[in-house]
Amino acid sequence: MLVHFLREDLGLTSVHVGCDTGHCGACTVIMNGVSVKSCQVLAVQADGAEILTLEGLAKDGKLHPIQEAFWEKHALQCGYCTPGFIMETYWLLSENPNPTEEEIRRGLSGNLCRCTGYQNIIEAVKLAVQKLKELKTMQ
Amino acid sequence: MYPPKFGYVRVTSLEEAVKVLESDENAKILAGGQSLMPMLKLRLIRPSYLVDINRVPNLSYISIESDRIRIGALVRHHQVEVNRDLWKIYPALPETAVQIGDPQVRNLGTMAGSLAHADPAADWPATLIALRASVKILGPPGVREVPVEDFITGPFTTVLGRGEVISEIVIPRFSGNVKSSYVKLERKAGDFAVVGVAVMLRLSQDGSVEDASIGVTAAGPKPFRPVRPRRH
Repeated sequence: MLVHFLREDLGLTSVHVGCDTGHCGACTVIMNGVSVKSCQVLAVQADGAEILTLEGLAKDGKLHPIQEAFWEKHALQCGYCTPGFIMETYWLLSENPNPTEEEIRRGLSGNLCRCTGYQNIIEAVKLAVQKLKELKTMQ
Repeated sequence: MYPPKFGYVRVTSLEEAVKVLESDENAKILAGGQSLMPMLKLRLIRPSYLVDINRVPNLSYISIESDRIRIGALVRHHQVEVNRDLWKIYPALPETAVQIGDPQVRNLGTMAGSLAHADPAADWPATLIALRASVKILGPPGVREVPVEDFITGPFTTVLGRGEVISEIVIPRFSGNVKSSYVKLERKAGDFAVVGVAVMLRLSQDGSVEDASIGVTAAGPKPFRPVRPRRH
């Protein structure tokens, strides 16, 4: 599967194997611009595709605004689900830069946090929306 | 979890897919793969080959015509979800799409794949039956068209024969005041339906119902059209 190729052959270990059955979203990556669960895609299907994992978010030693927001709002406890949540948030905000809380909750319904840290995750996504807006006005 | 061993063929046309499927009855189409991959991992199926149609060009269309809507074999649920014209013409379609699985699943999963998979609790069949849609099938002898209610014959079973593949879904359009909706009862977000019901109504000018069409899923071995709904 793509998740195994990313982790074991390319060493991109932010891509986590959680449930392995397509329920938890810990293995979420961006493939050709859309979020997918990499445990539900064959590696061969991704031949020639552009893949973005958490490793690709930080630029020049600076965290991506979504990563900053997750840090500042303490949107993690054990952290296992976090890369998947951040990548799904990345896709959600690229599709809908100004989501309502309801849209955030629905947008992240494919990702599970077994520490049940959902409330802070929602807060982090709201903060990320603000940060990305500020970044856009600065540019 | 790893799937069992299988061969992989990437085709560049549906005609090529038909040839592979015709030559090997245990070969299986790979479209979105969002039901296929779990089944492979759980070893519920052991196909000889997966025939990947994802690189076949021009299959991702939602073509809105005056008398019908044609949906290509590679249209993902998410495309239906965000199509503004469909929200106006048949809200039941995007309403169904948004209730399938979760965002990641909807980014890859396809309407045609869902029909071919024929899970008895799948969402699309209820809506497509209510909208009187049909499935266009490409096979060795050519093209045939089958109404969705006849296409699914039982749990995980369809009329697709050896060498046959879905090429598109055709949804007729009706003139006048047409309303449609899909409602699903689920235990938790993104779950399979406990029951799902879609309705299409055509209203006359005074608001009375001229025509009603209903589709039901997850309430039997296959989705169905209640033929004699009781009048109230």
